Amino acid sequence: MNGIMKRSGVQISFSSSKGSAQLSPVNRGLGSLFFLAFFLMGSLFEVFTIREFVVILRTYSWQQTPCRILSSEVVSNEGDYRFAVRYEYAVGSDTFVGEKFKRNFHDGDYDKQSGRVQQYPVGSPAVCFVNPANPSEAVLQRDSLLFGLVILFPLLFIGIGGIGIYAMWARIKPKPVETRPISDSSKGRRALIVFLSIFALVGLGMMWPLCVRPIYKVIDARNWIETPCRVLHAEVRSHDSDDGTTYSVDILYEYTADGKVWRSNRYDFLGSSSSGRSGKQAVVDQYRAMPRPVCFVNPANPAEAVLVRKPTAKLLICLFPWVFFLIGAGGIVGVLRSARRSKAAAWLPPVSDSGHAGVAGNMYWLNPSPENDFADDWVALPAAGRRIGKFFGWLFFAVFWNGITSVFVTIAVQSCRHGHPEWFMTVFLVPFVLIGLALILAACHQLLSLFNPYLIARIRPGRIPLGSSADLNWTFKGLPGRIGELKVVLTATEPIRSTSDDGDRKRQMSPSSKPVFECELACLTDPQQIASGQIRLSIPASAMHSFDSGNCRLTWAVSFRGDIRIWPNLKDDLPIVVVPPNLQELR
Amino acid sequence: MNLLSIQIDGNKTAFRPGETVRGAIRWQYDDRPGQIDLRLIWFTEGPGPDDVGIIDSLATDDPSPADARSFQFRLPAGPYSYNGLSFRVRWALELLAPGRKDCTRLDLVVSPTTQPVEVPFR
Repeated sequence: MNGIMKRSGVQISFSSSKGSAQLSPVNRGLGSLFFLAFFLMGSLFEVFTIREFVVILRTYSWQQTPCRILSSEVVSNEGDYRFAVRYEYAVGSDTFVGEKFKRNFHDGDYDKQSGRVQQYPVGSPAVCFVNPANPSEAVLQRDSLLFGLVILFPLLFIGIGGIGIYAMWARIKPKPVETRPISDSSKGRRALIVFLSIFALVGLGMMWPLCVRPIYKVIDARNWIETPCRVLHAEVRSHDSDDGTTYSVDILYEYTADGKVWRSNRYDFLGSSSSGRSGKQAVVDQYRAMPRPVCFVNPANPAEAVLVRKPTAKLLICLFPWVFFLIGAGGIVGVLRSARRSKAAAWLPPVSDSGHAGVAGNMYWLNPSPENDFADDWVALPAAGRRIGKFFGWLFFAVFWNGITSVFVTIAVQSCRHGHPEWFMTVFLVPFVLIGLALILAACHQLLSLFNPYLIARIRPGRIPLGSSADLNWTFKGLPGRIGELKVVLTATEPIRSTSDDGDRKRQMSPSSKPVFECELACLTDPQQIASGQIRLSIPASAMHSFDSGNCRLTWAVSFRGDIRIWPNLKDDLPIVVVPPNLQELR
Repeated sequence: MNLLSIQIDGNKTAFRPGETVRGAIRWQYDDRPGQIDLRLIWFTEGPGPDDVGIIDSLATDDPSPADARSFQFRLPAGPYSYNGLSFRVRWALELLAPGRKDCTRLDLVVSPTTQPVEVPFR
């Protein structure tokens, strides 16, 4: 037996090679159909998008050719406004007339089209791009190459569909266990990062049109000049689509700036359409009846004006790209953090080391300092920081949820006030509103619990070996007399989704944190004993030590549960660290 | 014929923390496999992605097509093999020929009682 043998260090990683739970054939079939629809839709969209991008790329090889503008005007097209242009150009001895401004050019706001008329006045020279293979085909402007970013969007659907189908069938024909090394997981991590990057990029891509630009405009418009205007035409425009009919406000108005007369039909900065006709009709009626309407004109570009410059509820749509971005970016950070847990004994949660002064410190796991880990000295157990964190967590969630829900509630309320109730939307919103109220109650409950007596606890030693004992002492600050009864309980929990295991590795998940051990250490009713005390706790020798590998955890804690009259009860769980008895020698 | 195998002295598969795992690995290929890796690992099985800790490893560079090596690893203090409610902790020796995408695994138990820790605790 010879050869070079290299010994490497300790590392930790994760493997995403877990298969799905066992599914019945019906569930597997239905699941596969669901994900197949995702996959096919995404693939189809991807093919169209790539084809379109290739066509756009080709226009970049078209010949730049001088031309002359023959006509240039804004024309109304079934309620929309279109830039109609004609230009003349010559290729060799032949003369052609082009009418195409861009390949992908849509009707839109009046002032946008008006701006193009200013850019290409009649009789002016310009440059067009001519297809050398077919000189009768030309455009005045080429489409932006940023369209290429759209290619990323269908990848989300393809990814969700593909991974879903794989998960449905992965267990049917499992690869032999021996051919899939558990210890080599970098491929899975890379694939996950690529998938999450697509989410983040889609979010970033939507950030400019849906978030940055509208907010910038709203801020910038505060300096726009209030100018009298005249309403030329006002109506509610209908937009039919597969999802039903949506409506938008279309008001064409005329104003004077810099000695010239301008026209615009921009109502606000988002300019989108939505369901609910009555609200838009009210706006239109209001402007029709208004004796002296005003608009706001951009002093830097008088062609640009808007009727409503204030931020409206529609601006909440700017949260939409953030959802994609945060899922993607947060997921990437999570994967990278998981990969960075390359430390010896990374399975053991570190002791919360905030010194020995008895002041509760940071709630989260800190890096262990070897001296303190094994020192036979008091270690503070933090408690209060968690309450504040919980309160802000609930508050943020309640504000976020109710902020989004309120947009739709406003629409529903307005529809009732205008005599055209949106019944379907109203009924649909009921569970969302109830959840919102529950979140507000939870945040209030957590706010009240901030004023509960404040617990300061210490334990000795900081790391408790299995089968041994530790001393725990505590003091309550802030009216501990309000606590009628205090129970001190030693618990061990697996704070992730619990499963039932029937021995055949079939797992059912539920979002609970099931205790694997619970032992009441004390039940106190004497106010003095509640206010401060000391007890000794013992850890069973046959138990499992504390464990935290990132995705799986077993957490030991001392739980203080106090009954308080007409107030949220006190429940502070103070994590403690239980270690194998010979950890120090075998490190 | 391709073959990877792990043999532990005395065919023992249950150990106490701090004990030494000794044995031999063998491989047999028609030509040079490029590299042979032996890893001592623990890993979790739970609802989310599995976590894996590589405690120690031995790498053999450019080995001959068929050969054998002896090995020994000292087990650390933890984690213990564990059968919990929502996850398990397992130990294994994993022998890989990365260039051939071949792998074999031998499950171990590491705990003071040589049995996985079970819930509920007593």
